[in-house]
Amino acid sequence: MKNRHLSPLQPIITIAQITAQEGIKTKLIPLVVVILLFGVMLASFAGTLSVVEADAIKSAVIGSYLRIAGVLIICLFVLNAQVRELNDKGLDLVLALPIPRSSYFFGKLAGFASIAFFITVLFCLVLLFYASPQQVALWGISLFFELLIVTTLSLLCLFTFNQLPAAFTAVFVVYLLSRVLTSLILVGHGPIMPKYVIVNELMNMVMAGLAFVLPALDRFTNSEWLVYSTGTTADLNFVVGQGVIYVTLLSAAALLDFYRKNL
Amino acid sequence: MEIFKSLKGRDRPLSDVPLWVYVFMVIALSCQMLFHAAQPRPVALAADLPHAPKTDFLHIASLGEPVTLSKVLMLWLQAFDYQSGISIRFMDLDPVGLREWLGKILALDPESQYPLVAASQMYADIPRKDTQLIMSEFVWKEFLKDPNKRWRAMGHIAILAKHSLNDLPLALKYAKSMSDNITSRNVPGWAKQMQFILLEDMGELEEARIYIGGLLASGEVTSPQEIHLLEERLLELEKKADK
Repeated sequence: MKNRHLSPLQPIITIAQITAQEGIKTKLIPLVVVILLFGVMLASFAGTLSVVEADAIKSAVIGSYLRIAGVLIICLFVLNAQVRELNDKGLDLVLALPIPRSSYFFGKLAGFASIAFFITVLFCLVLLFYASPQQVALWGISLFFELLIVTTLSLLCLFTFNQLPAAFTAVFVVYLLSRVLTSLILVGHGPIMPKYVIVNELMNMVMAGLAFVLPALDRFTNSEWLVYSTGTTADLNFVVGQGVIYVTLLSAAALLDFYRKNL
Repeated sequence: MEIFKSLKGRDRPLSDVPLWVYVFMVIALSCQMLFHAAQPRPVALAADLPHAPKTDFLHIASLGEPVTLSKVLMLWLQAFDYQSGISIRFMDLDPVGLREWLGKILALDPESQYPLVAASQMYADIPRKDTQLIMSEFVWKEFLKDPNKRWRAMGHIAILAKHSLNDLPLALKYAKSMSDNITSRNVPGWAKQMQFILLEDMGELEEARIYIGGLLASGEVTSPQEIHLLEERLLELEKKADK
């Protein structure tokens, strides 16, 4: 009788809490700290190699490093946690309870999002030593949305492939493509490329089509913001808009797959 | 294939998915496509060219794959500095920075012809004397490091020096460099006799025709992209001569 009066959000909150606690249990915090310290050392080393603009090089190196490190940490954490849950039959157990699959999915997403938020905050605190607070804030918001996209993409890929290697490869390919697609489009239309060659024209069309369905991650979390303080409100609007839309799209795709899944 | 076998037959029918998920999906996909369509088209910005890092740093960053990094950097450089319809903006491009990047990229992959082709045919076309001079000197200095492999770009800068920079002594210096330094028998004879071509009272188009025609006939250029670039160059010179 008591269950009937539970808020529909209650299962989501509970699953999110359990997911976030998993981060603490699996020693994610020490790992993030070690990676962070390594980044600081790498940036200092890069700074000593430079003849001029040592501070700019340090900011660029640590910004790029933390971005890719954050993406890899969250991607592997999400995939590993979900694979373990599949293998331990934890997912079967949760879904045997009278809660909708969407609650499970959104609970998981919220839990992983809180971990992404924690990683972002930790990274931003260190970056304050390298760049202005406004630019670090913009960089941080952008990184958070980027990690959220990677988290949702990882969940979708794991629901689809059920295996870590295949899911990781798919996430990696989509992520990489999203980062380089704009450059590829620009190169594809350059004057050095032969015109009216079917293969090139076809590739240009494919890339233009992909640009419609992939997030423009090349405009996210730019180290340039940290180095030259070039981040603007327009960049903030873009990352928030693109982030919200793409996480929604990936969530819908993941839910579609999850609802069709036979356990 | 195991992946796809594992997927086969595991799914419930599409009718098991709640309607709101489909609605959610359609709305999200539409928003994504509209959002993308609403964004301005990407453009290359000359002002974005950063300073080139030290070669040591690039070697570390290449993670033991300097050739790959060189290729990727060349594409990156090309992606934002020589785009259709906006090459006029590259009047603002810093030629010293550009030379630094091309030098570093070539240092990562000394066998590559790409930076030299780009310097002699793409960047040297920018109608700015200082850029043309810096690019020409870059090509010449790099040529001297390995004349038997890096001679192809030299003819272009020699013709450029004579006609765009109106500096015949400089053009002859480049041509003499070719005859003095190229020792390989595999290099066509006419490439070593550029001085005679330059001393003839010919226009830029005729000289380019001889040089590019010779390059194409010799089979030295095999890449369709580079052949296209050479043909485009001839077409541009023909248009210029018609005016």
